[in-house]
Amino acid sequence: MVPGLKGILILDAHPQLLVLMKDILSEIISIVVNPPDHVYLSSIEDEDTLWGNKSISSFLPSYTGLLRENNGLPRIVTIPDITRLSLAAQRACVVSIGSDIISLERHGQHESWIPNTWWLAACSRRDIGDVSPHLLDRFTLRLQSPLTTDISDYEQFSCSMNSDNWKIGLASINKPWPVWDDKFLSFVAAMFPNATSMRRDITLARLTIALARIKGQIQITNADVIDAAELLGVIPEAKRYHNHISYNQDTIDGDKDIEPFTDISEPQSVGNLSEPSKLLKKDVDEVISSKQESDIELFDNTDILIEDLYPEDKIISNHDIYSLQIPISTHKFRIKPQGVHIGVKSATTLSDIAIVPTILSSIIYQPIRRSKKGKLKLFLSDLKSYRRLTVSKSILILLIDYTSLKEVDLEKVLEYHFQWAYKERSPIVIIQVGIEREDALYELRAYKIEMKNVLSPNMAKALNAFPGKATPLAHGFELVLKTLQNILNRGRNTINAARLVILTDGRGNVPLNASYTLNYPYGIKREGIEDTLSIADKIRDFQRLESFVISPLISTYVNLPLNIAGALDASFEVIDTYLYKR
Amino acid sequence: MEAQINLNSFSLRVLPYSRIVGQKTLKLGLELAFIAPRLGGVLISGHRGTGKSTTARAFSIMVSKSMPVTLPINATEDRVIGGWKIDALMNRKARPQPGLLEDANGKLLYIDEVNLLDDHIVNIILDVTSTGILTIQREGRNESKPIQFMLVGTMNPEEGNLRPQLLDRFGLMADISIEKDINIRSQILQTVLEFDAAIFELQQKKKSSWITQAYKDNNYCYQSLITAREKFADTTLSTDNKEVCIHIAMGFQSESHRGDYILALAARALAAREGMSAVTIEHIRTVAPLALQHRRQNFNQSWNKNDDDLLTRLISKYE
Repeated sequence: MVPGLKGILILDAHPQLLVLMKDILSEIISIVVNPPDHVYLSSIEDEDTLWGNKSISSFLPSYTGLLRENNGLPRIVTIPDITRLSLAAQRACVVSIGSDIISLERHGQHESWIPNTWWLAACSRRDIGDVSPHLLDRFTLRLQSPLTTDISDYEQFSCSMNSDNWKIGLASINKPWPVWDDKFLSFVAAMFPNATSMRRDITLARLTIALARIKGQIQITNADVIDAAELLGVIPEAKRYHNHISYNQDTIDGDKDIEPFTDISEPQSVGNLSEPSKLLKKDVDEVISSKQESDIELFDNTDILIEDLYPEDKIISNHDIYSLQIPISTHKFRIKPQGVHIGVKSATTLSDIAIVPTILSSIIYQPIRRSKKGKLKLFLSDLKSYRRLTVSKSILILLIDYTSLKEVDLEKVLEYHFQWAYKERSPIVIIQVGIEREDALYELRAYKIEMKNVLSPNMAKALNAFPGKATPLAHGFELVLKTLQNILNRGRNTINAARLVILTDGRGNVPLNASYTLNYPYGIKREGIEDTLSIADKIRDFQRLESFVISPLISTYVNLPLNIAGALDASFEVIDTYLYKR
Repeated sequence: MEAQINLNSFSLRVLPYSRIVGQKTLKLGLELAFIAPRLGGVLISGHRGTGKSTTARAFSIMVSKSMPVTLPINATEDRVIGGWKIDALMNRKARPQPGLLEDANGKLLYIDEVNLLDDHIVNIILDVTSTGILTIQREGRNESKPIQFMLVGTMNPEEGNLRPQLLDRFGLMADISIEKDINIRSQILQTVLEFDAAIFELQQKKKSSWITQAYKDNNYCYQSLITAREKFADTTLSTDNKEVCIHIAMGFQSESHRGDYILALAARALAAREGMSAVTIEHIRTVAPLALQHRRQNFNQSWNKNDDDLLTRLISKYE
């Protein structure tokens, strides 16, 4: 088969469709190689579950681990919702999907292998900003789920896949590798002019090769590349090219009906991901089915507007919230640990002991400790305690509009709130609105900084940022909203108090849309302010949130910060004159 | 050459170094670090899908004929420092199992996604790279041994940056970005597809002239690096050019003295690479971004035109 196409992401997939796709993929792999193993990943897997452990006694047998392959036999890993994947699993995906080699170096295990795993994941378009772009990039092959919610459609599709016709192409696995020419390369290379990764070009080229091979062709044709591009959702309707290659034995054996690749269009005019494709996708899988339209009816009957299949390009990622780095613990001496455990560490106290890892760490020494048969001999150094996700009971969120506070001594203004954060040992989030950026275009966005506590060395730098020329207040409020959603509504997080402090004069002049698209707003009146108030309404709905609006001394538009305070149901105060820098 | 090709070999899964298109800065960094091991390694920073890992692995295969010793981000302490062979322990035999740092002695230690490493593991690596001595004091072992390896790490800056202490341990830093030139992108595609086809031929038990030629070219490149490494000791840096190195490092507010030292060392390595016996200002100019990018005050930002302009101003005094 063609390498590099083993990470498949299906957007907006119904769970039943994902299972169906897994079964189809399994059948394909069974025909070409061997029946694959199946693994599901969700939100609970930790490192040990993923990578296994060695056998150290008859009552603690070895555990293979979900991601360790069985002597090179194929495996399908299915991820029903990639946004809920555990941190350990996300990290495993990043280093495993598309990798040439996988190395395992854990607890005495020392192995390397060439991966033979297919990854099938689902993600809702709406939530894709919650996933690390780094992780998303590993899924080179994208598919859009049909918009149907009728389960019977899936069943019908499943039955149609039992037809033997579509399997014929797979029998051509040993046919010669098709040839290509420079025009093909130039065309593909120009398909993704704005992509941040070469993986998309390479995926398109490899997918084209794969389709040509399935058809048993000896040369890449226009139709192959168009079909592949359609699968990736990058060909507009006007450029659609009808493939007339019949999928029969004559074609497989000979080269008739094959059109060598010709330059079908101006490359620059196609596939610009900044513009959604207008293609009405009727058959996501039509290439694999290769025109057996009578067999595959699900997608034929479902008109799907294919937008581009890389929606993460168009949204602002919340990735700083969902970083793949292991979080820093803020509470070293927690009396009652509450976070989800994500690993173990050598214990320094007797609290929160991880019993099984402790036994595992001690049992290997029993033979040299001369322990009596059947009884474990534990040393203090064997003790392991859980490494847990960072949790805090309160958090301070500051939204600072630097364009309105040029002469203000921020440390003095915020002193009361900093004292509260210090007393509570709260982490601090600063949303910076209107800061100077090297590229002025990026001043249209607000930025978020997270700090472990009020004593963080980055605090002074954050407070003393230089003001820029734009005030993307609405985007700042959007970041506040996302942060609160993440902190107060997500998973088993234990924060039970959030304090939101907003320093602004309320004069937001950048509409939310301009922050997302990075297009300079022209002729804007109140759009940025209305966006801000609209988001403030949503923020007010949060429970366990205490809000403050602090406004500088202003002579005009005094109602703007008051309106924000009203929308938030927040306390309102004006900065005293003595808090201005002299 | 084909007789040596084993389809199951890990090495064969990686595009040969001689066939990698573009990546000039990164390739230069890796080659200089090989010529002058005291440079201490290369940090490769770039966004996803820019070929960081492929290039690093391909380089290791070329210079050591094997995959690099790889330290995965979820490695445990016993595997990094060294521990006991558990199977032997279960049979009442205490046999040490060397850790990855020891395995990498004299070779290339490769860390994929180095900025995702656990802080604890980062501290261990820092200890070893700063002292050159691996100290094992755990699980009843108490040993020290000298260790030297070429540290190569890749990172995607989207996931956060490295601590300055670890940054400083990488002698050079190559910041790579996606190719925008359509012709180069076409060449990259051509190479990837040719490599896929070549692997397919080998799977079909056929000979691949493409692979054969690529490995020949690899060998040619390797021999030239060996020659440069031998010549390196004889390559000189004049007193004036030492001053240039110091002046540039100070101009970029390099946070440690390592900046001027690495700059001078890298310039000598480049001169040796070009078969010259003395360093010129042009050599210094070429390697300055590699040596100083991560030692600047604003190390979070990529090397940009402002840096180029500053470099030109600093050098102009001596031209």
